[in-house]
Order: sequence, then structure tokens, then C-alpha cells
Amino acid sequence: MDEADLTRQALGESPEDPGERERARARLQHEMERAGQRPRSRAGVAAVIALILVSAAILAALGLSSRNREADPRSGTPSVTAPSPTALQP
Amino acid sequence: MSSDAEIIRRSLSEPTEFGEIFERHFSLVRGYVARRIGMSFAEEITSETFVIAFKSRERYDMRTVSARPWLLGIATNLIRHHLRDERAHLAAEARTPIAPAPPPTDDTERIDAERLRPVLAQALLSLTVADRETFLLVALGELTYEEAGASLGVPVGTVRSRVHRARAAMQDRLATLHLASQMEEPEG
Repeated sequence: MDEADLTRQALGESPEDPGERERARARLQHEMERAGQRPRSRAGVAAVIALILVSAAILAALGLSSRNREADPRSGTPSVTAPSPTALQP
Repeated sequence: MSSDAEIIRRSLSEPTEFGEIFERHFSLVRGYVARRIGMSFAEEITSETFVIAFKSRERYDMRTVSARPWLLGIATNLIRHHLRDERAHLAAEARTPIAPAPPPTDDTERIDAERLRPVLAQALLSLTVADRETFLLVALGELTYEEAGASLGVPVGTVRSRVHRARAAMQDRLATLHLASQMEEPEG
């Protein structure tokens, strides 16, 4: 038996109080449940922001393409394309 | 069966998964803490160890399969706030009179070890905090030198030299006791 074994045996097992594990488990359980109830983790929030930005970019791209499109006479939508400089001359 | 690392990884998205880490390691952590500083603070420190571990699980090194060194490292840090209590616990053990050797039984080794408790406590008291906590991580936590190094954040060579010093102190105390008992034996 070496010194480590000797120490392990000498300091002996201290009997576990039955309530001890229960109380420690309950405390951890509380922390785990609180963490589970948090609306979103930091990573989750970052993912949502990224999604919003991508969506906004897609919408903007779509919007730009429709702005550059000539008005469809059938839909009655006016053209938003800038008038050519010659069109403004008297 | 999932490894501790896999459970901790899952607990990042499913926090209650961490309960399995508690069930697996509660007895070990509690035993380590109770043997080091006695029963008075064992419950508080053990409970705190798991709460801290849970809150810091994002920083767990997923390459480490077993959570044992990590948990014992957290417990060791918490025990550092109770060094006075540890010294008091060991001093109380050291003051216990050494019982006379009983007749040999099947359990002789364990009885011998318990009989030597005051001497071992004296030896542990004579060590520096760093040597003592390293040796006890190996002896009580049953960590390998590599695991103890990871647990304390020191190189394995440092663990080796600290444990070597601790063992030497133990041997020295035990040799003194052996000599003393030989001198006490009646002649003839």
C-alpha cells in the first residue's frame, strides 16, 4: 500500500447524509430549469439577428429590382424609375 | 453510454441533461471535499461545485472525455477559501492518539491506515498548500498525474515533483513513528 492508498484509507469514507444529495440536486435542478426558461441564449439571439438581416437584404434586393422595372400599365403601378435628363428639358 | 463530454455538449442546448453529470460524480466530489475539510462545509462546497460547473459548461474542453478532473478542480478552488477549516480539520485528526496495533485480521490494511491517521494528518499539515492539494487530488480524487495537472492548470512535471515531495514527507513521518514504536517496545 503506497502513501496515496494509505491516505485514502486513513481519511476514510464519511457517510453521506441522505438529504445532502437531494438538496444539492434540487439546487442544480433550479439552475438548469432557469437556464431552460431563458428566452434565447446569446448564440440564439445572434442567429435571429442574422436571419433578420438576411431577410432584410433579400427584401431590399427585391425592392430594388421592382423599382428598376418599368411600370406595368395593366397593374396601374406608376414607374419609380428616374426620368431621363432629356425628359426634363422644356 | 455517453461520455461526460457528450453530455455536457448536449446540455448546452438542453440544460437539464447536465443532471446526469451530477448523478455520475456527486459521490466522488462530495467524498473528496468531506475528506479534505470535514463534514461541516462538504455539502455547501459540493453543491456549489456543480452549480459553478453548470454555469461554466460552455468553457468545458470537449476533448476531455471525463468531467472528473474539471469538477475536482472547481472543488479545489472552492476549498482554497476554506484553508483555515482544512488546517483545523487536519489538526484535529493529528491530535487523535495513535491506537495500539490490533491483532491481524482480513482487514488489517484498512485498520492500520486508520490507526496512522494522526501521523498522516501531521504529514499533510507540514506540506505547502500546493503540494497538499496536488497530492490529495491524486490520493483522494484518484486522478492520474495528467488529470491532476489539467485540474490545477499546471504542467505534469510540476504535479510529479509536488507528489514526490508529499510522499517523502509521509515516508519521513511514518519512519519516525516506526522508530518511536520500536523504542517503546520492552526489551527481552
